[in-house]
Amino acid sequence: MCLHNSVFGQPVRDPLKTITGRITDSATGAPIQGVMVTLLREQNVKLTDINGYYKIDARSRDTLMFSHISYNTVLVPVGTQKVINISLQESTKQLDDVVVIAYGKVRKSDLTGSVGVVNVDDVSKAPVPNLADALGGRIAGMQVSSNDGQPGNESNIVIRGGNSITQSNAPLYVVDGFPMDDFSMSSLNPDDVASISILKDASATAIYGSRGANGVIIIETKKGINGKPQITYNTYLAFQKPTKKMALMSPYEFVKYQLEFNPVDAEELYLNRAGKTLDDYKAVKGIDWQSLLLHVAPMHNHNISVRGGTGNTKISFSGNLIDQKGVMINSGFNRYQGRLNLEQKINKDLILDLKVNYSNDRNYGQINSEQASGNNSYATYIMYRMWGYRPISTRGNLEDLLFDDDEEGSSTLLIMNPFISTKNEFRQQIKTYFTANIGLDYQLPWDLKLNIRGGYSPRVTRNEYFNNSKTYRGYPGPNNSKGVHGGFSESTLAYWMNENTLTLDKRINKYHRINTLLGWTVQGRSTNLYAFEAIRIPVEHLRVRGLEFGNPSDVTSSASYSTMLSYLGRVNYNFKSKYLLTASLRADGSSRFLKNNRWGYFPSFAFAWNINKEPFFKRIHFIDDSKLRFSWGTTGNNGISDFAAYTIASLSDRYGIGTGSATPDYALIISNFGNRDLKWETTRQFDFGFELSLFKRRVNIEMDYYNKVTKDLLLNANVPYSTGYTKIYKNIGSIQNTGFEISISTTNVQTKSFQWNSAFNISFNQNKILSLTDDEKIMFTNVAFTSSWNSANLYVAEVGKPVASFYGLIWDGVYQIEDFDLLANGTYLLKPGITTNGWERNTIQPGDIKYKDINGDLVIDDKDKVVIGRGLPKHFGGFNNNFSYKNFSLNIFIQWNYGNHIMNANRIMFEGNITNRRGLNQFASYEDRWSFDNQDSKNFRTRGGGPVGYYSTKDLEDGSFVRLKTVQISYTLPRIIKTVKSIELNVSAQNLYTWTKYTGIDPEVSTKNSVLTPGFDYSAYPRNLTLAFGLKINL
Amino acid sequence: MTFRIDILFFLTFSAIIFSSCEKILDIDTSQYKILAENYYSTEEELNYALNGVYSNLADGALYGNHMLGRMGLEADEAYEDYASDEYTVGDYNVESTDTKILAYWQSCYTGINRANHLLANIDNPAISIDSSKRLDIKGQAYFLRAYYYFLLVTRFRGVPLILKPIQNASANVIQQERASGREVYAQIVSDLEKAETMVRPASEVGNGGRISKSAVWGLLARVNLYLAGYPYYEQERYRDVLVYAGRLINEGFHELNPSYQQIFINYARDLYDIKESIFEVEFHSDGTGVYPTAGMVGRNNGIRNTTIEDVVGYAIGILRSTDYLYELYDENDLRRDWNIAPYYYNNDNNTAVITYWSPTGSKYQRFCGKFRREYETITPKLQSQTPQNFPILRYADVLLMYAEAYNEYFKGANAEALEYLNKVKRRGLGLDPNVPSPSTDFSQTNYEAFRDEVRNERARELCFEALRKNDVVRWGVFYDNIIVREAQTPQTFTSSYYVRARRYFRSVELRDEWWPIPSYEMGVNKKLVQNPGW
Repeated sequence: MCLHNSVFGQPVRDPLKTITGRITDSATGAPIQGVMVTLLREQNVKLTDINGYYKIDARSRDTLMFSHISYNTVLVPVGTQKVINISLQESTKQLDDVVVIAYGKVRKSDLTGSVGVVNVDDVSKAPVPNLADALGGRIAGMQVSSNDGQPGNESNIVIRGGNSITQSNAPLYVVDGFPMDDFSMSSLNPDDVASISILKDASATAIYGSRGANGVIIIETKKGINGKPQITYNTYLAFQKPTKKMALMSPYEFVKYQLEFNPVDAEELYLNRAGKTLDDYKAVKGIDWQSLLLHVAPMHNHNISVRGGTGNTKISFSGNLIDQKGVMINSGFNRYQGRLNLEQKINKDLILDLKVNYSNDRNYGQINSEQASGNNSYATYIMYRMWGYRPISTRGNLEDLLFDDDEEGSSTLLIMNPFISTKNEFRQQIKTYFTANIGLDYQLPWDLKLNIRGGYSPRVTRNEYFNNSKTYRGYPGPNNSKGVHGGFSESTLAYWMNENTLTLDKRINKYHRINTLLGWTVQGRSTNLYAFEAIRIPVEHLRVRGLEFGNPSDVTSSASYSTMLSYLGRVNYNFKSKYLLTASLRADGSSRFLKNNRWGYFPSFAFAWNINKEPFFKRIHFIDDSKLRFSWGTTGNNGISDFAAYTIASLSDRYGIGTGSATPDYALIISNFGNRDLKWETTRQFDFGFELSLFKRRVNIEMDYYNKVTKDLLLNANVPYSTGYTKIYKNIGSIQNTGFEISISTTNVQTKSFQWNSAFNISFNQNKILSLTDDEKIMFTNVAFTSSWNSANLYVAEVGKPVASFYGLIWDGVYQIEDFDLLANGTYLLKPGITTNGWERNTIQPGDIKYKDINGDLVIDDKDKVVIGRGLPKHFGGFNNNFSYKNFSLNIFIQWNYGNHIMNANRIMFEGNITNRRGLNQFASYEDRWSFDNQDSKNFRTRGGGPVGYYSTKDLEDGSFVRLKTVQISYTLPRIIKTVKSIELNVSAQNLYTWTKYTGIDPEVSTKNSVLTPGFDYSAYPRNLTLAFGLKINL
Repeated sequence: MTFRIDILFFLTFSAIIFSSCEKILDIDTSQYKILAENYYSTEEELNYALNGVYSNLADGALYGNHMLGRMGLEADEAYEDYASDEYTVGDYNVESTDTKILAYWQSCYTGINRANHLLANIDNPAISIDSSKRLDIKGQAYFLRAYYYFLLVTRFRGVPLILKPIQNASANVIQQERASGREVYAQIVSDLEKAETMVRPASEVGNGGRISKSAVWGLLARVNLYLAGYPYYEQERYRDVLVYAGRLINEGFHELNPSYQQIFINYARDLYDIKESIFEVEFHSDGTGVYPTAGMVGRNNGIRNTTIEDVVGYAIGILRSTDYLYELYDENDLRRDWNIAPYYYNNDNNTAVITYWSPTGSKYQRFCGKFRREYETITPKLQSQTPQNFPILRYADVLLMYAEAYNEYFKGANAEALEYLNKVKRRGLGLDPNVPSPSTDFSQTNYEAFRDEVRNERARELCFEALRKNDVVRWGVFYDNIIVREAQTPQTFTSSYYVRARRYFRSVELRDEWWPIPSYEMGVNKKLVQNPGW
């Protein structure tokens, strides 16, 4: 039929008729002028008039296309209609072309700095409670990572590499104009976010002066809109499971290992007493502790928003509720949040806006990556116990016993049932955020605009914990002097601010346009902490409510306050949108520095050239835009404790001279040295960027090269202990970050019914220490993980090299029989020329672990340690794809990291049992270990692990990964009910699949995370694979 | 016209803010923290500051934990058996990265810094305080600074001499080169001589927790004794030992406690006996673990007891004896079975049951019994904390120092030296220390015979009091003795304590007379030169 029709046509049965109609804005109802009404068959175009009316001739089988640059295009089959009235929806594409920057907005083509704009639509497709969890890989130059999968974990965001070695590298957040350097993304409802801009280069950030050095994230929330109230309701129900479980030894392999490990006792315990042979254990099922502790956990999320406005008042109200159960039993996260954005036009020149956000979130459950006790601490981490706990019962049911009593001294060593103790853990953190932010926009004569903004934002964090007698910390064991105990702490972080800016936007004639900004701001930041603990509490079931019955123990209080005063100015000059200049200057005064060093001045300069606006360029017709950018500027940092310039004493110690058993008296200690010479840290950044749009803007490329040098680093510097201090804040050291970023976005297919867009970005950043404290050339850092390893230098920061590299021994497999002399009595003795592994020569046996002897002294010790790996990736990025076909759309987002290493410390304990714990289960990978029958194995023999306390390449792994991070399929129902504008159903998945060589649970891990100690994995909370079923209703 | 008024208002408002804003940057820090610059202004504050200088002695890096059996200070008299300390300074696997050595270094300097702050402020005439009290505090601060330097110089030899609080953090201020060992000793002597004139006599002080003139004299005797030995060999110093020890003895205030065991029972019970125990480190526990002043005396270096109960009290039992130490004692010497416990506690269903070692069995099994938790009176007996005090200077030590110095200076003993040695010996045998006992008294005045006896007597009397390594090093026999001990240790038995004993003695090298300067400190202070051998 189709072919027939197109060949012959049916002019008689389908005559031309005149179609009329009116096009209006769906939000305001106002008529729209200039809408293109296109008759697709003939490409005839008519425009709507000033009142939104149009008239066009068409046949019944024709389709009309209504398009306008600011609105979503609509296709309508003519059919029998003669009048076609359409209300068009404002498109977000238009918004994309305007970029939110510091103190204003600018058209993307007029932008002089390097600014990344997050596609909020794409990000919101990820079913995650915290928006930050969805930001990784979205913007070139922005690295987002979280330490592990613990619910409620905050992400670490680092823009263009870390500037600071000991202080925070977190960017400055500016939320609706309120700058906060310690902002929690979890207070934000992802659904409220209208735009996120990432300011990267100095031209963009220098206007924030002192705190721009780590980059700036500008978040704007959704506002009310004029017109009928729009009500939206979004929800999803999700199911989460760990991305991976570790394969452990089966009961048979476990018993086999125990018989090798401790033949006498194991034979008695597992064979004689149990009346079994080793082979009998092949039929034993065993206790799967992983299944007891890890489960499929539900999460549900609800968002409701009402946005509307009449004339002078625009209002937006929204609320969010999310409840996430953790994949680990007795852990999770939930949040209640509400926001009110109000904009009131008071008269034709004065607009008042008010933004209020309230959020209450709570995370609970024990922290996986924290030790529960300082003694034998490695064994007190929950994942250790989950993997290592004996998989078979020998007496009673092991699942019901608090201790594994068949293991000698288990209650002394606290070999505690992981399931029971985890169920009994009580700890929760409740954070309450409140932000009120009010602004006045006043239109003055001579194109002057005054903006006055004030805000207050307190954040109260309450921690509660209770350790009953069935938990690690509360069990009355040898190192627990507190008995059953619990405590409470409340800390408040509050910001207040006032910002006043005056802008002048002046078009001088057709060619010149000047935009100037002048302003000053004052801000304050206060912190308070109050905490107490009660010990030996006689009542358990009341938990923290029973604190009053215990003995008061630890009382803590501390408070701190700092202020800042700043003056700022910026000039943008625009010549024909062809040449663009920006210059800015900010002066910051900080109370953290003493008077003579108080003020810092932070200038920046940028130039951009829209090359395609040059006549000679216009001939290249496939290039739509082409821009060169160059910027230079300095930013600062005052990220030290508020009173670092003062020598502080404390009475936290006690000593009783001649008091016998009476209460000892106060003892004064000098807690830190006040460095009166502290001054601003400065970062000088140079950025060169190139932007290109090709083929009717279907291909957009943006490239940036940058070089950042941070000088006078505010370093909590290692000082000689002979000073009486361990660390002193000093302006010392220098670090460089250089990098290259590419972002490419393309429209691959664009047809009437099928669209495919892609966005790709990749970032390379290399940091290098230019100098450290005074003459310090090399700085080692350890992680506190467990006693024997705590003093082992795992990370090294060396002048001329990256901030954090892994440091340790080079693993050389195992000693083979040919390394030994066979003695007359049948024992093996290491040949004289063969290096020992740190153990005494005569105790080393074939199959023992072997390391490379770097200095050739035939002994393995600290002198044989070298740099063994990279802490940070060589490159990282993301690849996003959006497909839409008719009412279906599909989003696929892939993220990767390449070239970093991870110290998989779990393997230290579970691939060889180096601490020689009896009855400790092992990873299945250790079933393959060296023995006289299995001499090819790389794993050392039972009990052949060498001295404790060494890190080596054996457990250092490639942390590269490619992850199918977010996938969402959604379907928009055809409009059936008039009152419902749209209904969308979707299914989304997070962390769907990961390609990696890493053998641990998840390669995105850093359980002891800091600038100096990235990529350490011990007892990390598993990351979740989330599958969510969602619904969006728009009324 | 309305516009203009608005602008005018705005400009005026701005001008007010501009002119007053800078004040917002001046925060009164004293409203938030105790500022060191404002402290030290009343008598009470001076006393708290002095307590702070003392309290560092009780730090875990010093007498609070590590020095109690975990740093090899027992040298050749005993060895460490503690899995957590394998391959550390505790079993002489010393590396310059050793964390306990670094913590020791740090803790000594923390104490010095607190003393320096106190000394820098104490003479402020604005403080309303009785002048004798001011002097007393000052003298104690001088003593303690000297003592922290003494702890340093005996382990590292020369160290940077910091005598004032640092004023800024520039490299030339915070990086100081090592003074020589002699210079450090000279400073110690000078500080102690100042303290001598300032502090009160022992009879007035009344307890061994606070520094008295006797403590100063005793420490001056000890310091001079060390300077007279290896590696300084300042022979004339023996005379100074006689002077200071003589002053203390001749004052007539001090006397030996008739019962050797009672001295240590007193420590466990928080009782003072300043006549015997001249200076001790104070520890306190009320059984709840609230105060940060409890120690590990008796827990680290006690008789092993893995039972968790309140009758005996948990003890790791880190220190185990040697045949050598055991054989030093006469079988009638009561000190033997006190210092080397003939039993341990067996954990029988959570009850600690005294279990005797076989009398013929190896003495390498036996634990240090000098500090016994069963005598503690405070309950509950926490597993990680004890209230027992720890001796730094006892009268018996002073008597033996006098005897030794006399013999060394005059190359032979006299009646006085013999009497002082025999007082200690008699008490050990359960006799009245002041009544001669011809059948047991030592009577040879020959230089070598007397020297050997006084050295052995020091081991019998003062073992496990963190003094042995100092003694064998200053006698110049540290390494030789260790070699002998290594040879004496049974080589074939595989029990874990033999393995540990062998590793302990076998790991010692000649360089282990001194510790290395911590590598951390070397890294941040380029002016330091490492000790030989590291």
